[in-house]
Amino acid sequence: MDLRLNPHLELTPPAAAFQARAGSGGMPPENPVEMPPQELGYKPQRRGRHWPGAAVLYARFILVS
Amino acid sequence: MTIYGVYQMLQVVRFASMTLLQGLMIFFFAVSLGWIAFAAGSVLAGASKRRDPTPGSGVATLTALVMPIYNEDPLRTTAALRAMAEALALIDAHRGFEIVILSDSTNADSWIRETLSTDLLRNSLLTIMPVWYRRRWQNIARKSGNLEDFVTRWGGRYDHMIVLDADSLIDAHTLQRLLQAMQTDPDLGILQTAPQLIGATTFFGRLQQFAACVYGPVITRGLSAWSGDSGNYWGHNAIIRTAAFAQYCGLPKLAGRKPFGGFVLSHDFVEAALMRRGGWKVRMATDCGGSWEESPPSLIDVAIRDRRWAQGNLQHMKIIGAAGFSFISRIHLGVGIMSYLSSPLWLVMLGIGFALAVQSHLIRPEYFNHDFQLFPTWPRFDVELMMALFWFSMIVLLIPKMLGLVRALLSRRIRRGSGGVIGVAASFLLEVILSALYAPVLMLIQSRHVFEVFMGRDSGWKPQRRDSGGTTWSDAWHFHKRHMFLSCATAVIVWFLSPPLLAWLSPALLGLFLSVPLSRASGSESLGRILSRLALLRTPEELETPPLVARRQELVRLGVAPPVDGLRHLARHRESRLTHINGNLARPADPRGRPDPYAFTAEQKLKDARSLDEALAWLTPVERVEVAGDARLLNQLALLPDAEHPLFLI
Repeated sequence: MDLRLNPHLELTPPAAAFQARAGSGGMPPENPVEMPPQELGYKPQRRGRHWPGAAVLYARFILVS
Repeated sequence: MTIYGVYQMLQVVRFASMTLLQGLMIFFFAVSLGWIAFAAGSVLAGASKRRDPTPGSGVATLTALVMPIYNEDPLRTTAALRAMAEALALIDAHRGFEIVILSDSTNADSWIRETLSTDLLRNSLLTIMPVWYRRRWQNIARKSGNLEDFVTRWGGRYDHMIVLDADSLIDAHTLQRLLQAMQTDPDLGILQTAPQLIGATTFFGRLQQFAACVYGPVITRGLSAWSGDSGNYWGHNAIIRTAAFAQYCGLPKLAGRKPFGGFVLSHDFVEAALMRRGGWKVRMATDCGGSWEESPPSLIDVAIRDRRWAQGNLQHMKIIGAAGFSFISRIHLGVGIMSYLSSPLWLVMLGIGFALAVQSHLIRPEYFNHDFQLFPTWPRFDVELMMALFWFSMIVLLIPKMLGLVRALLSRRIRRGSGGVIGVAASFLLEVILSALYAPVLMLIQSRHVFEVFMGRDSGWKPQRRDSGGTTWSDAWHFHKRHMFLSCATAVIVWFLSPPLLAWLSPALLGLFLSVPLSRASGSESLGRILSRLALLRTPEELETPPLVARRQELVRLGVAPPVDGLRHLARHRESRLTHINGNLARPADPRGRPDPYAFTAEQKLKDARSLDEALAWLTPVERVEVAGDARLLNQLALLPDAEHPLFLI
């Protein structure tokens, strides 16, 4: 927000220190990442397959039986 | 278990001469028994689980402690964050962590309180870790949209994010362990902790807290055992690999109208399934402890939260068939759906039982079904077998609770903290009885929720009440009078039709009949205190408060409550005004040709007002937000006089 709009306002020491640290308005400088909405009808490429271990398979056997 | 139960049920009624109602009864019985048998099987599977491996230390990374908030009490949220940061500093593990508060607050006063409290938090943690704060102007897609906005704008800065709820607490060793697990396993996308409930003071809160303490660990252990790397995510108290989350967990907007269409409400299960679909591991850390959250204080608060959750989970019916989801991810989604559908299923089963009683009372049995029949066909209903089946179902239902009790009795910590063997056993019995009384009330409430969702009614988004404000008799009466009337009417009709059936239905009807006093009692702090003094429903955390929890309580107690009327405070305190203006991102510009009308009306009202009181009385809640977000309007507000600050002093 524009502080220049209020000529009566003065920066207090902690606020000034903060302003020097922060990128803008309470947050660090932006570092964007793309987050595309996933298509539920389409299977994306997997990073690789992890097969469940013996302990997990045994637990599933108990669950089913 | 289900096959055995259904086979026995078929013996109760003669399969060959089964009526339509009996057939329906068996169908719903099979589904319900399958549901409780699944829970029992899951807990039994947990017994096979080995302890989680202890992770080593990995390369240095940057992790955001992310807390999305929505009109919460900032004194409590900042106290929790400060306590966690201080705890990390105490073990010299604070480097590489940053606090990020993501506000979606819609109330101007809440927002102002947040920025002022965040500033205090920032100053208190200056030497420990940075504190960031961002409030969104548009609450698109609620909490999931809040996180998505953060990831898309600042996500590149962080390797991981630990997502917290407003009432979450995670101790330093657990935070460190979560981080190390991510650093040492590059395929791990989400690691979910199993939060314990703390801080309950009301009767119902303590009931939930004790249940979570005794049964929670065996349930989560079972879940973790069979889900393996296809675990689940509960939306908070979990660490997430930011890049993987960004790449694979962007939520789609579902086609169709609300409540099934639109934004995904219960995003966590879906994000876990998407993460798994992308080939990342989603695991549950069940052995590390040190992770807490709070529970709603009363039955009505649980019902309000459940309405939102019901809609979110039922919405998953549109998602469960998505391409590429692992079978286990589909089971997680299915379990969420069944958590809510099981209530109407139970209700339908009771209805069929009632209809069968009416049928046997009003319709004469057909003794000779065929033209050439020598002997009559007697109506068959094997009471002894039915009793055996009832006890079988009860055992299946109680397996998770019994295993939880055994674990609690074997745990020295729980025995000591919950009143010894007698205290644990007595609390267990009390919990079972009270749960049985509350269950039919919750069944009717959830059935109504499911009905409303299918009728297309949206839940809205109300902030969760976290204090113990109590439930008045009037609130309880308005909320539960229908439940009470229904129980009375059913009892009278069933008494005339079949007194033995009334005996079968009495546990459910008793809970409904007592719903008003039960609901009133649920929010009572004095009842909670009495139980605590009697060492009933007590958890180890009450006797020995964990240092982190104690520190948060201390910070809340010692903290200066932020101003109630935020705008008035900003108008009269120049430094606070500066802090607020400086601590927020600039308001995004309105789209060309579509200016925000509230900014204009707010400005005009400030111009017309002759005093601060007049301006504050005229401004609507939306206009108050506009004023709080505009330095120029705030300054205009500050120039208005009031009784304490006449014009010549401003």
